[in-house]
Amino acid sequence: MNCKDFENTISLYIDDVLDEKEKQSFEEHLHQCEACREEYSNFQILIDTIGEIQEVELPEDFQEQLGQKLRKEKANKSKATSKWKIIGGVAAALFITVVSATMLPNLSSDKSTLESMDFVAMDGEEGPKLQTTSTHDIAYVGDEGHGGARNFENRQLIDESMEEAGTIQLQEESKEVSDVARKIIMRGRVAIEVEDFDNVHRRVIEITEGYNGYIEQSEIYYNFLDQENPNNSLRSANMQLRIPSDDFLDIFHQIKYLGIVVEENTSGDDITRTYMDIENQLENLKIQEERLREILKKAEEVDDLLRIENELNRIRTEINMLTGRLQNFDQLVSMSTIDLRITQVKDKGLHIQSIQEGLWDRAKNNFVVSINNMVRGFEKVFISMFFLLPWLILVTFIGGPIGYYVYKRGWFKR
Amino acid sequence: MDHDEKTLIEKSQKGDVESFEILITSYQKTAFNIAYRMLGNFEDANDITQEAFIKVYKSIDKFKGESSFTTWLYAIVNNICLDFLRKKKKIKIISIDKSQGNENYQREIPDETNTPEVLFEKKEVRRTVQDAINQLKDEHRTIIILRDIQGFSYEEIAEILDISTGTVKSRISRARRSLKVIIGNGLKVTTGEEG
Repeated sequence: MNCKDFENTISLYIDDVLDEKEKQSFEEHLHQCEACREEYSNFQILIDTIGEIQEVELPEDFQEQLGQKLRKEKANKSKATSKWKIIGGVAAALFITVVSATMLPNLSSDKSTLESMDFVAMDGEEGPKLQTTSTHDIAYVGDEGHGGARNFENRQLIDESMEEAGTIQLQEESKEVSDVARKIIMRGRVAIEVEDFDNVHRRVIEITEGYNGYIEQSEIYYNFLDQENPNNSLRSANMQLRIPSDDFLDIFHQIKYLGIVVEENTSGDDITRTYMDIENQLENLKIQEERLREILKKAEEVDDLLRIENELNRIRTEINMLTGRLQNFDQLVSMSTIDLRITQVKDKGLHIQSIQEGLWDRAKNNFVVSINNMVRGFEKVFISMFFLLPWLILVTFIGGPIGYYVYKRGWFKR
Repeated sequence: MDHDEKTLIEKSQKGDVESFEILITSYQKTAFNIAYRMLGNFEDANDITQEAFIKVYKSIDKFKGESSFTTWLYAIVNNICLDFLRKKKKIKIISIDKSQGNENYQREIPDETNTPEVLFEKKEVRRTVQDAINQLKDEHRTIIILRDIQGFSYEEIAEILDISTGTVKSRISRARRSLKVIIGNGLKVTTGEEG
C-alpha cells in the first residue's frame, strides 16, 4: 500500500469498515511510514473533535408550534378531501350530462324525440321495437329497390336451413322484421297560425317543391271577410303535401317553424309485416307458376292443358294483383303525407309567445352545440393523449436521465 | 417498540395527530440537530424541521414500511434542508461561491506536510471544526453530520441519502479530507505558516 492509497483508506479504517486483508495492509503501512502515521492521528483527532460537538436542544416552543401546524394540516387535509369530493361529484354530474346528451340523438332536433315515441305508440303490435322506428330506418324505406334486395339476402342467410321447396315459413318473420328495412307509411298533421298568410303559403310550396315533393291538394278560404277593408280579412288553407319519406322530419319541422303550432300529430303506419306477407305470397305463387309451366310442358291431353292453363291464369292474375299492391305500398312508403292547416290570425299576444319559443329553442340548440363541441374536444384530447403516449415514454426514458445528468453537472459547475 | 411504532404509523396514516406526535417524539431532537448543522442557524433549523415533520405527516400515507421509518424521516429532513439551501444559494450565489471553492482545496490534498498535531489541541479547535463543517459543500456536510455528529451507520446513511454503501464510503473519505484541508488552510491563514 502506498501513501496515496493509505490516505484514501484512513477514513474507512477509523470507521472499521475495511475487510481483514485491507486492514492488515493498512496497519503495515501505518507502522512503516511516519508521515502517514501523523496523517492518521490528525484524522483521528479531527473525527473525535467532530464527535464531541454537542447536540443542541430543541427550541422551547418547538413541540407546541409543531402541534398547532399539524392540527391545521389535518383540518386542511380533510377539507381538501371533502373539496375533492365536491369537485368529483360535479365532474361526475357533468360527465353524466354529457354522456346522456350524446346518447339522445334526437335532442338536437326539437321535439322529434316525442314524435318518434308517437310512431311507436301508433304501430300497435310492433310496440317494443322502439329504436328501429327512427330516422335511420325511414331512410331505408326510401330506396325500396335496394331494401327489397336486402330483404331477400337476409332471408336467405337466416333461413338457409329451414328453406324447403322455396316455401317460406311465416313464423320466421317475427325475427326477420327487426332485421330488415321497415316499411312505414308516414303521415303528419300540423295546424299552424300565422300572420303573414301569403308569405307562409308561398314558403310551404317552396319547401315542398324544394324537396321534390308535390302538393296533392290545396284549398284556401276566408275565415273572416271584411269587404270594406280587405287587408283585415283572415284566410285559412288546407293543404295535403306529398313529400319523400327521407325528408319527412326535416320538412315537418320547417313547416312548424313557419308559424305557431296549434296542433301537430305524426303517425307511422308500420306495414312491414303485411308487406312481407304479400311478398311471401308472391314468391309462393311464382314458384307455383313455374311448376305449372313445367307440368304444362309435359301435359298431353287437351283437358289437362286447359285446366292447367286456367290455373296458370288465375295465378298470374293474383301475382299481378299482389305486385300492384306492393308497388302501391312502395309508393306510399316512399312518399309521406303532411296534412297542413294554415290559419291566419291577428293576435299579437301569440306573437310574443312565438318569440319565447324560438328563444328557448335557440338556447337549447346552443346548449346542445356546445355540449357536442365539448364531447368532441374531450375525444380529441383523449385521442391525442394516446398519440403522445409513445413519445412521452421515449422522452421519459431517454430525456429524463440525460436531463437529470445535465442538471447535476450544471449544479456542480456552480 | 417496533410493534408500537407500527401501530402508531397506522394510526397516523388515518390522520391521528396525537399518535403522530408520539411517533415523532424521539426523532425530533436528532432531526432538529441535522437541520441546525446543515443550515447553521437556529431560526432556519426550527422552520425547516417543522416543515419536514409536516411533510412527513402529509406523506405518511406513502410510507409503506419498505425502509425503516427513521431513515425515511431523516431523508425527508435532509431533502428539505438541501432544497432550502439551494433556494438560498440562488439568491446570493456569488458570496457563497467565493467562500466555497472546494475544488481548489481538494486538489491540494496530496500536500502531506501540512499536518501539525498541535493544531487540534486548543479549545478554539472545536469552533474551527464547526466553521469548517459549515464551509463544506452541501453533499459533504450532510454526510459528515450524519456520520460523525449523529453517528449513523454506513447502511443507515445509504438509506437516508438513497445511495449505495460504496458511494457512502468514498463520499465520507472525501468529505473528511476536504474538511481537514479547510481546517488546515484556515489555520495557515491565521498563523501565517507556510506548508
